[in-house]
Amino acid sequence: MVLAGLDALDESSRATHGAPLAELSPDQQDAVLTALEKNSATFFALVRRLTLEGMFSDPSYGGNRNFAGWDLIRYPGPRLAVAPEDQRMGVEIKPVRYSVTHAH
Amino acid sequence: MPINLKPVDVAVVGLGAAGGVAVLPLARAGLKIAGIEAGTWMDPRTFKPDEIYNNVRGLLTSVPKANREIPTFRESPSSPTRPRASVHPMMNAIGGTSIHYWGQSWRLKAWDFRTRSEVVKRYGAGALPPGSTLEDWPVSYEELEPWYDLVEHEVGVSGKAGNIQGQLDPRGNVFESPRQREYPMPPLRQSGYNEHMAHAAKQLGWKPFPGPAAINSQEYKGRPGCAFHGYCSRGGCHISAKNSTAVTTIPEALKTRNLKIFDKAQVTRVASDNHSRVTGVTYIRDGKEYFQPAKVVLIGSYTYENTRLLLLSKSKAWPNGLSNNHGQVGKHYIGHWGGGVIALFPQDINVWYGTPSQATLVDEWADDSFDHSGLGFIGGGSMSAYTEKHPIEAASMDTFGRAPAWGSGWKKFVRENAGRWTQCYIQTNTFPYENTWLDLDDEVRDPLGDPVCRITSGPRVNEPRATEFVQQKMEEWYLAAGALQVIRRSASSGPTAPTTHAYGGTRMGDNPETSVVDRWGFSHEAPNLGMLGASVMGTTGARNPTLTVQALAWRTADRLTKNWKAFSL
Repeated sequence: MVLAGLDALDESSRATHGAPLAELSPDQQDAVLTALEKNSATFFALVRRLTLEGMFSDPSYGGNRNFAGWDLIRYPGPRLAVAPEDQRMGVEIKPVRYSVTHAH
Repeated sequence: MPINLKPVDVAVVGLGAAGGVAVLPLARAGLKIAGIEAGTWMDPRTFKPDEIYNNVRGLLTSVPKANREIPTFRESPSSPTRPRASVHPMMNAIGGTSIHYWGQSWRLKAWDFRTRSEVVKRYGAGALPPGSTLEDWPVSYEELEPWYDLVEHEVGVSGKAGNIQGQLDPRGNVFESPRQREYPMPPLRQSGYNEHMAHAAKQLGWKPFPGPAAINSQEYKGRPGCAFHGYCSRGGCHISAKNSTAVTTIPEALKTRNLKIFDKAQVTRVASDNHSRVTGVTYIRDGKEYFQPAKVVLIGSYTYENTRLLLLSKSKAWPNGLSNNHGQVGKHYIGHWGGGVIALFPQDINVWYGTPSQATLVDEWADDSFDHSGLGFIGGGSMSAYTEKHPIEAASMDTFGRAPAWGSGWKKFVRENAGRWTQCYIQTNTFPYENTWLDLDDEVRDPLGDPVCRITSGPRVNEPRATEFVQQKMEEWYLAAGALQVIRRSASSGPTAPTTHAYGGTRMGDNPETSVVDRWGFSHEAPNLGMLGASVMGTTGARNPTLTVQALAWRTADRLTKNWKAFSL
């Protein structure tokens, strides 16, 4: 459902602006997404939710590549034990590059 | 035809927070116990710092059996049933929901056990919430105190006493009811944010204190103290510092060799003679049906299932469900109320790590700790400022009206503010009402063909008013702590789905016309049937139920062991 919706989005973007969403200028992209938010609110909310999950979940799920999402929000990454100093306010916490691997 | 098993002294249905505690005193007394649990031992490899696994998909806690039995919900008999929740808030496992819960472990107040008489005494009968079925409990805080103490030491609760035999200590909760002695371990350490909020509370003239938790603050009984890794909520503890019954009372009971666990076993019916006694339980395990005869049956299958099992277990002596000839099973159900308040701070507050039990608590505005004259409600709520925040949750933040919901403006906002917002935890004193009960759904069935439980929960005026009052205090607290902006969510309705804080359905009382079990937890109608869990509680208090559930369960078990001849006729 999600992939079909995104394909439809690209088609509509080609039709209106001449290129798929990823190749548009930032202003054009905003225009496309604004229209989507207005016209397909449920789909937009779903995609937004999934984007958030992809951007900020553990990299083993395929998103947050090289911890880019966690770095954006300055989340220092999971660690199995946390020292008292790393729970003070106003401290710089050294990011831990730790990705949980699934046990499947 | 079910396969008949060797009789046991006690069949305990459910090995969660309640059943998991009850088995210990029974086993130590030499009784032979069948512990029948729908779940099994959790695999510690599934206890990981993974927000998708724990919190987004709920894979740790989502269990097939419970999910097949999710109760339905409606506001009244004439309103439509809401769409069912997709995940049941409880889980089936050895240890049950105590595997992944937050572990907050404070006692109820003396006032919670005798709310009705105290309100009438102080404010007059007109102050009782209209439409409520509130009754004093048949047991007092003072009578339960020795069992609170037992559980705190056996399960392991960390905290600081605020009232030892009348001596107040401001380092603990000065509003708590008196305890005989200090906690077995100091409270969990406070984070910078906890201390920041404690300071602000003191500026307001309040008396903040660190929260008590069933989580080790230091090595206890051979297991380590908490590592504050920040994946405690809905997560299992990777170092067994969270004192689930799976790592505390159940292993201790197994050591006695008097407890045999039957896991992956779903109890479907409680059997009875045609007179006044239960005779055992029927369960399905590995595709086969078994009958476990027992001299006593204790049911600790969580609030909804406790009621459902009784209603499903019909017989000639009990045509409307086991122990339901007085029509009280399912009555006086309560879903705990609360109210959301979020705050945005002008600086990073560093709440990524920790655990939700690592908290600064304020108990000023709960119960009857302040004069309610002229306010139009009774009770109030406790407030918690706590730690642990996960990255997806943080990035999904409300933008407080300061940025759009997506785009470069959003990105800029979230870069700066994902680490600067937080939410609180408010728990409101909630009461039973005539318009709120549990029964069996008319249409929805589980795969075995049995109706699922149905929640009917109508409106009331007391809890919305009390909650709003406390939310205003929370806003005051955040602003005193320097928050830039605070948003209060509407508190006009309580839970509209099954909840992790569910009470009643098999209420305790001295009067069989208005209760299901007696002051010890045993059915008025079938004296060898005992109920374990918050289904016996008549009020919620303004704090978490589990410690009280466990104290009551232990006390019920002790009643059995001390009067075994009478129970086992």
